[in-house]
Amino acid sequence: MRAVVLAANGPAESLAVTDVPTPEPGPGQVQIRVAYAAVHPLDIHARSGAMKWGVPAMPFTLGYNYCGRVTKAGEGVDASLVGRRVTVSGKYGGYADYAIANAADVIEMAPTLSWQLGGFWAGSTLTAWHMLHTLARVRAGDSVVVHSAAGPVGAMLVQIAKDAGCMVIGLVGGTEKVAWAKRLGADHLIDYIADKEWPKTVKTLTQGRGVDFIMDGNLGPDALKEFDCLAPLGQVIAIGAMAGQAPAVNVSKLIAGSQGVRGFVINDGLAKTKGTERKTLFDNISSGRWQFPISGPMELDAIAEAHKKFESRTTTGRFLIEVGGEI
Amino acid sequence: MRAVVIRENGGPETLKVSETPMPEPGEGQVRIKVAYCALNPLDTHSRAGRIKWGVPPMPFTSGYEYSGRIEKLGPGVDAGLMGKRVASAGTWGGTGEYSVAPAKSLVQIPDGINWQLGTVYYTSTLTAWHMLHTMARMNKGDVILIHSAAGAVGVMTAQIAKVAGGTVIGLVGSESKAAYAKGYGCDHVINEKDDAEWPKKVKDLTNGRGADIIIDGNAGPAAPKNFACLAPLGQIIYIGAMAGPAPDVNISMLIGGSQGVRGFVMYHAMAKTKGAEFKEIHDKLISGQWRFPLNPARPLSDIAQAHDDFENRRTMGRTIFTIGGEV
Repeated sequence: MRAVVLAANGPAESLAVTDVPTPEPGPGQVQIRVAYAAVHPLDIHARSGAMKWGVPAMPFTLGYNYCGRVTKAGEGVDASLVGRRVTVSGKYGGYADYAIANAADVIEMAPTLSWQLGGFWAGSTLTAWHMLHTLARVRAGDSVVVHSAAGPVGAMLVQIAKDAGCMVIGLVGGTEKVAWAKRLGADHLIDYIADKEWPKTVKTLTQGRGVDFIMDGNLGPDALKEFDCLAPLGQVIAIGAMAGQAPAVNVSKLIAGSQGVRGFVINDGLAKTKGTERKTLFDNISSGRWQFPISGPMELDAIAEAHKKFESRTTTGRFLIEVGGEI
Repeated sequence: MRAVVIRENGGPETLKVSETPMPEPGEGQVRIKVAYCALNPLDTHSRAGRIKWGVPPMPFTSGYEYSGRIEKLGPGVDAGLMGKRVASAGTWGGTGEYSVAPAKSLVQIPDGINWQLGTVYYTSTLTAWHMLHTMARMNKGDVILIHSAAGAVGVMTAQIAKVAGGTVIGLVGSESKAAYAKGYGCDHVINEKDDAEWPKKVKDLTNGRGADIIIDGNAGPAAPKNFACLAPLGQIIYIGAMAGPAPDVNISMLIGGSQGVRGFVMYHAMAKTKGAEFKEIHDKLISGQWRFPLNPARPLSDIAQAHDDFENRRTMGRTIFTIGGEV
């Protein structure tokens, strides 16, 4: 079968599809015929070597988030799982015709949702919802800046924050993304490539006050500049460092401006609510009230090109790889 | 008139009562015959040179938290203010027999609140209320850890958090302070002098989770200990730096545990709520549901000793000085 096996860290061009034996499920595992996989930031980080923790030992098959149909159940696994449509997030292995997953890690997909939506909506939507409600505890009237508003988490942050009564400013890179992101309903969109001084623009848009929340998965060496457009009592909520590490934050400055900075990983949000939000999220997605953005798919054979495209920051929403497709 | 004027930074022994000219109210200002003046932590910080922002240029009259009666109006001030009982809110000058402040900065002391309580309830109670509600957005069931739980802000934070459904753990520096803090409603009290491993004790008291909100006016080089007992999604709120500045914070280190660091000065929060909290505060203080920890008034000539007691952590509750008394 085809698989994208990572044997050494390297650039996108180092990725290639190879022919490997079809894996068999061990005890407690299932074999899955993969339909679609995502180009997930954690695939990029694992490939480039930017991330050291939470990555399997090489060689391993990439593909952090994928969906497909269960084709075999290993020892001790409920045999009725075979034939079910499932999604897996947080474990690698999806860049292959067949993946092996622990039965405990697969989530059955709603029968009413397509492969592309059903396989991928949950991770980003849960992340956005928990950032806003479980961590930030947003209220109507709050103002929120969303970095990478054309990305899957960003697009959901914009829509869920609007639904909560917030004023939302989306940051996107390039005029095409500005045009694309209009569908999300943000009050304002800023092209941060054209407007290097975007924190000033945010201040102007908020009558000099600044915003209550900045949702940032980029950080990077310029990250402290965004504190200039954070209102008193405001918080930067960091969920990643796509643009590299931020400089350290001075606590006395935080006190003087009543500002704050918080980190977030989805597992802590999930552990807190124990899934009580899931029905609301599913209802909003399946009714189309919240639109989960998907782009691609590109063929698995074009994986190097797909990673390159993702890293050029020209994709919108969740960018997919077609493996078996509509199986 | 007599006043304690800060002419240079130094120790408590530099505080002297001396003769200074009577201040005259300018445009929009009023002159107040001072009744009582409290010892606010900012008085010690501004004397010692520990804070640089929000302090008037020297020489200035000490006394950040005081009460008195309006007895002269500057140009452009509403004549109805003459004779009103007021408390300061963010202006200095309370250790003088008379002080001058912008009319708009003052808060009228409600009927039913006597001069002594009227002097002090305002800053500490509002600080505590705003930290918990306007800034942290605490929920029922949150665990609140308070440093200096026997201080005025600590005691008010404990009582306000309890009414809002929180569990309160107080940190104190002596056995007598432990008993004092418990008397004001802390669920648990830890004497940190006896126990350098106090974060472990906080974890033990919370089934290994840690506190959701940590309120720390001390900071200092040991401040990172707070992270060891901060729950996922939790926030540390720094409201001062009695023990010196806290070390800088690396944002990426906050992401993995979904932890946060925030700073707080009360006046930012007041600007946000525009007084919506006063009814609850006044009702609960007048009814006695919340008890303000007020110590017997001392003569102003005790000021150097009082600063020394405070800085050496011998003070429980709020210290006040009689200036004009029952004016």
